[in-house]
Amino acid sequence: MNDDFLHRIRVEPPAGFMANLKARLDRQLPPAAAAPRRSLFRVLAFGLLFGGAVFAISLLTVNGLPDFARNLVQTRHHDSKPDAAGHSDTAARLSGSSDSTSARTSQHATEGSNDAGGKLNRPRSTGAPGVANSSGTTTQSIAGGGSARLRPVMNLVTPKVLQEYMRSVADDFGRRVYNPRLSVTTTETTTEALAQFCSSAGTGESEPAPDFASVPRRITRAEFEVCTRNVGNIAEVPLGYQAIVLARSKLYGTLAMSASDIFLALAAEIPDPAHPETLITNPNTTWDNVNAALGREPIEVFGPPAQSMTGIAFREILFAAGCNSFPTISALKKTDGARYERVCSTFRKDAAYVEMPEEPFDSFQTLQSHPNSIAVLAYGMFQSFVGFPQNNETLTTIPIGGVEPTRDTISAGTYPGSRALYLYVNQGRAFASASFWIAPLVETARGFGRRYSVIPPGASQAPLAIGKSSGKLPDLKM
Amino acid sequence: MTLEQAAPERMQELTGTEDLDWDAVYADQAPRVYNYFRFRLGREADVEDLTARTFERAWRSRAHYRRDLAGFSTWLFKIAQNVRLDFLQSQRGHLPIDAALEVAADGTPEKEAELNSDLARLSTLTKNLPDRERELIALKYGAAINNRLIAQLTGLSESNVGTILHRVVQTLRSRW
Repeated sequence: MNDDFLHRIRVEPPAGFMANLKARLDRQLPPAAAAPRRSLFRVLAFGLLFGGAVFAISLLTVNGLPDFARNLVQTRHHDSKPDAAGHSDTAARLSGSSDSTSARTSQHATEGSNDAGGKLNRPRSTGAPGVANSSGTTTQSIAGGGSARLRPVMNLVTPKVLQEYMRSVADDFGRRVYNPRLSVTTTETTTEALAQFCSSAGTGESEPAPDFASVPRRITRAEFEVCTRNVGNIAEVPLGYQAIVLARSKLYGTLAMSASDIFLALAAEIPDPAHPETLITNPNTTWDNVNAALGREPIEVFGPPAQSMTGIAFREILFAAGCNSFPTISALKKTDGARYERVCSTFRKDAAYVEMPEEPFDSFQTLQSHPNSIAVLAYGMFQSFVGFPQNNETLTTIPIGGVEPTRDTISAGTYPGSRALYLYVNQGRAFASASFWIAPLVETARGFGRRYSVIPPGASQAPLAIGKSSGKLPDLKM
Repeated sequence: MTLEQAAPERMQELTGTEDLDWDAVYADQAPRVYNYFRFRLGREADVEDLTARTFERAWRSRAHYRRDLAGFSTWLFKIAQNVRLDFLQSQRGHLPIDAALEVAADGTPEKEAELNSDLARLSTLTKNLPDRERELIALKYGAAINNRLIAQLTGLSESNVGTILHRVVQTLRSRW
């Protein structure tokens, strides 16, 4: 068959493309091993074993222990020696969680008193702090007030986007201030976190109302009114700013984008240009498909993992802002909330948006090897890039809505890719009014900010007018 | 010639263990997939993008590849076929980009012009062929895989693949 004319059409792929693709494939995580297939026999054997165990436990529960086992337990019970308080170990184990909690609390209080000359902001206003009373709770004098009952744990509620950050803060706070500890509760959204903070009842017996809320936006007037009605006065402390930047190699210059351009480029579904009332699978492959003013370059964006702090922030700050700029989609919020959430939070799954671990070196390498591409980075990480002169000469940021991401535009709130983080304090709670707990907490949070790309507030924006041993945060007025 | 044909014992060894030499697989298969898309689309535009998508998808799920169900080439080209279908769906309503605008990176300008011209001519001649026959041409001459693998990928018998290809090539040559 004379088919040379067809063979001649084959070509070798461009070497640059082959090398780039290989580099991208090599950056993928190694594949997880496929789950081994279980044989039917093994499944049956396991099922029989498990079923038998369940049956035996059920039988024991219904009929009680057989005689020989009962005798054995009684013998051991008599052998165990009572402690100083006259309780045996077995009795202590069986006495229930409330007793064990008391024991633990008592131990904390004792250790706290031993450490009364501790290193950081331990209350010293009156006598020896942390004296355990008979019920196991801690009574402590608080500056500016009388004696109040304090729990050994303070509660902080925060949305998922700040979970990692606030857990690190809580861990470090626990190391610096042994007692009380800081417990962090996470909610899906900021609204839920503030609702929990403003609830007088808390979420249950084991989780009382939070003392603090750490959230990535300011409380609204409506929320503030509910809060003051339910829990009394609250205080507001700015923790810093979170900002997302789009960075690119300087080789092909910068692009001027808006949040809606970003949404049209990266969303899984977008409004059909011909029929804006319907949503279609995103067909855009080049930037000029998105906005004729942008160049005819392929859409290639490297972003953080979806569930990382930067990934959630990117989705909530820029992607959602772009999504809401389309009336068709924002109207969905009222008619079909689930669809709205999905459209405004789902990135396309093709090669236009590629998740990349938040490693500075990887990000820099990617931008160098893919000069057309754009990387989504936390502002702090970008700053760490351009701290090196060679990176400063090769990388640039993309202005959003005509505003360059700088420290000034971020702290002024004019850069669309940024938002402020706040700590809200329940002034009515005994712990919260003890300002000596808040100072180390805020210091710790601001200290950890750098690690999580949180930009600290400027000197004029940090009215943390709380004394180390006395004083009270000013009540928030709106 | 496919990797299986070139070194069957090596491919057997590679695909039978977890220590698959992915560099070798990539070096062998990437040009095939690349040319498969060139033949299918009849232009240079989007070829790199689709090739990259195919490999990224394959690399992500390579742990799930099962040798007892299909050869590696068969598995990879199934992914490529799916990627092309996804692409076509996403392109509905969009005019194809002019093939003549794109110039390959390697070779002399004359050679490139000739190749592009041949590709454009093939695209014109196969435009009215049934999709099945265009797929056979792309797999045979773009991906350069044998009739047995093509039969597995298309669901046709091996002899049927040979017969159809012979007829289509005769027709194309007469009009070339």
